[in-house]
Amino acid sequence: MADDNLQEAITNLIRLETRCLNEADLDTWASLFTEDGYYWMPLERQQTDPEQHDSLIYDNRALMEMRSYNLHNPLSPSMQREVRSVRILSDLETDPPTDPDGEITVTASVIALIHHRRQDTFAGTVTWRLVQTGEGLKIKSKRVDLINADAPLDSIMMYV
Amino acid sequence: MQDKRYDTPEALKSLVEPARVHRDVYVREEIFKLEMERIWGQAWIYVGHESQVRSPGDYLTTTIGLTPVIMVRDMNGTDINVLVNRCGHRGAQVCQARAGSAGNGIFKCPYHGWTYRTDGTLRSQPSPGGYSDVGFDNSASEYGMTRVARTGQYRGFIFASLSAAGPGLDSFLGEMRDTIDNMADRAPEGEVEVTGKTCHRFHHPVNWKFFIENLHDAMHPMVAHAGTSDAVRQYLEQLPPDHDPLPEAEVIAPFGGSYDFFDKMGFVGLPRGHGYMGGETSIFSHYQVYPDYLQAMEQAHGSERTGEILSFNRHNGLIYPSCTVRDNIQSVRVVIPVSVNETIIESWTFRLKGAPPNMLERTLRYSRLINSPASMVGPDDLDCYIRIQESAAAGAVEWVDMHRHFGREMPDGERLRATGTSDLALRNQYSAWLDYMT
Repeated sequence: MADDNLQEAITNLIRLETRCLNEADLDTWASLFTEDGYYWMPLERQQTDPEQHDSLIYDNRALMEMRSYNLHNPLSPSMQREVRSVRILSDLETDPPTDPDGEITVTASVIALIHHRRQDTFAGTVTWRLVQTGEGLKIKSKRVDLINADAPLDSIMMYV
Repeated sequence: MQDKRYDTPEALKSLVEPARVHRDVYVREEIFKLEMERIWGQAWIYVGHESQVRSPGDYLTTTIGLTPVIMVRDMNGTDINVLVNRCGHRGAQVCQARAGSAGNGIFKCPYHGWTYRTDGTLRSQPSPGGYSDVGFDNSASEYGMTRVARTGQYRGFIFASLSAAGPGLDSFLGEMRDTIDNMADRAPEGEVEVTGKTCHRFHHPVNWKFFIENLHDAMHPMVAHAGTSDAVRQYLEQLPPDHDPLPEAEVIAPFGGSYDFFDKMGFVGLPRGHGYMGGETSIFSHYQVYPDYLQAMEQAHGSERTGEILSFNRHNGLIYPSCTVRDNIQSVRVVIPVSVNETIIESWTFRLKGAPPNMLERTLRYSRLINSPASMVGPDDLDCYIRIQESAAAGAVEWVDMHRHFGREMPDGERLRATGTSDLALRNQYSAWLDYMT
């Protein structure tokens, strides 16, 4: 367990991150990541390296911001329909850093419902790595392991 | 009104006119069944790559049309067999995993425990006394896991055909061998290998033909992908003018290329529905060449040969009907038909043996940004296919057009050449479709 203040900061950040995605506010969402932060959705649950094997998503800040420009841009055929989504997190656990400035690892189970042409359900585990910065706690990485990452998947229209 | 029946060659021929195709080819169950039998049951179909079954007993499961098959490395270590994934006893599928290894070279059906060797022959069944003197022949092929009629490989790419008749693999592939050659030649060691055990499997709730029809449709990128290229442009505009080149922009930007850019690439149609865009220029023309990769290539192949290999600029080499090869970026997309309105598109990525890691990173970046179901490009293509599928099923209008630059193709030996934005690619596919179907 982390101390109460840190735990509160962690919970607030995860809540805000979830709310930004639920509200499709990708600009604010991207700003929660460090400049070198990334979002990773691997193809294999055992995958250790996004540079040696394909992934469903491996987005740096540039790609997060591009997706924000693309979201609901009617020039994109798939974006002429609104994307609505909600995430439910549970089993939130925090591994405090071994040294005061180290990374904090937070894990949770997630179910995300994404409505586009129809409603799709995605489920899996999330692993965040958080770091303290001059601007407070930030997300260094968010990894989402879908339980069915290797199954045939329909278009994934929003980050889980 | 009763639906038209397609039980004669004349009826099938009525579906394809020189520059338009009838909507029934996308929506009629009867047509899909005939396609599985006459196209997917005749042609050489891509099964996998030999690097996916390195050791004796290693296997991979997939389908040829609707037939479930197992590609397995024989215990002799050399042969690669393609077996129907069906127990010779009651017909249960023997393997469910996408990939694995047959322990000691033995497949075992989980229902009644019949076992098979990696060449598909029946090895044993429990309590064998029940089969002696009852007219059962243990060595009869009908009780084995049937081998598909023909299996062949070209530079490690494994193809199989359910039909014993028809052209051999080399003549079936024809000029598409150059595309496969170029992909392997781009490796300093002259070989490629599949990365990872899985690939993108993009579920398409549409007929299988929409995906291959889109491959050489050069009138769609600047429209259907305008939103994505616009997003890249907007992002670049807010960067300081002296920013570093953005590898993501290198991949996405050409999709917003002009009509002129795509016209200049050109399209080449080949016999049996095969074809490719480009040749001298392609969507990859402006990719930077990494100095360490160039050095590795020149050491292996010499500078003249390296120049030849790297200037070979094809895009989306279609090996009709089952796969499309991007030699430049080392990816192969595989068409898996499921039903008349359901298809899975698999995207496999390959590593150039002997190349520095930045080349694989480039391949993976391309695959994530263009082929992934979570990309900003693939879902826009699919959205357009769904729109056509739904209106084809509705039936208010009977025909789908393919007139662009009709009659302006230029014969060149067995090839037909056209400007890049011609609908020749569609017409060439339907010409092959009719040949197979009638």
